[in-house]
Amino acid sequence: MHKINFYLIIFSIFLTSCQSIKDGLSGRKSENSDEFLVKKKNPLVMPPKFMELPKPKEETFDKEISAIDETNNIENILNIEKTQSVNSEKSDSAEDFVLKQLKDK
Amino acid sequence: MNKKIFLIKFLLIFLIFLTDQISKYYIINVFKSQNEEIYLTSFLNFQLIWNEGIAFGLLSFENDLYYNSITFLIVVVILILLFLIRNNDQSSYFYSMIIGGALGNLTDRIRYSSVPDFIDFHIYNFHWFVFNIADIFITLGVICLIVAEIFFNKNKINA
Repeated sequence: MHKINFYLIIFSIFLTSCQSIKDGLSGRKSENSDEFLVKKKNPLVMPPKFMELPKPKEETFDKEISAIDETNNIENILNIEKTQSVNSEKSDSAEDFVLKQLKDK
Repeated sequence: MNKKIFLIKFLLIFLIFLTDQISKYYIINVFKSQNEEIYLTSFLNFQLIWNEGIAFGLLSFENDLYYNSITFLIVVVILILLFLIRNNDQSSYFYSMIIGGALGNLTDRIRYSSVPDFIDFHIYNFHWFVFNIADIFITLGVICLIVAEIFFNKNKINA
């Protein structure tokens, strides 16, 4: 009987469920050993065909650059030549118009 | 076993279990709407904490196998206690107190997979372990058992 009581008193620690407020609020697991279960990272290795990468083609590269230059040319973008010619034609016609009016008077 | 004595013991277990469950149900409902601790007095607060382990936050594993093993052990201890309360000595009443509390904690272990603790007793910044009503009765039962064992034996030796 005494032995049973002795064991029951020891095993009563399993029946209670108190917890320290610090562990409870932080959610820490006191018996956590997950760090040993983490898989180790493999060492860094060069890719298998790293040196066999294709070299860039120069011709196509130049063509692309020239194409970009053409499209980026400011004169082409603004159509300066065309607008100038239009403006000159317009100014001529306006002068003629004024002169005609003066002659008529 | 006398029916009257059996009824008294059963009522004792049932009352402790009921008190514990009602208190836990009430506290869980209160803490659903708020998360801050409830200030009662300068030395007593209510703070809901979930304990997945046993006493003093020990043996709280993430592994389900360990958790189920501990639960199984608790069930075995309760069954031994139930077997022992058949005797008509004073210790059987203390066993009943322990069973009542243990059943309360076991119910929560099965229902919530952890036991809610909420009574935070502290003196200034020194906080004692947060416990619940079931823990009070288990501890009281164990203390009474120890005291009765010591004094009972002394009387027996003197006689």
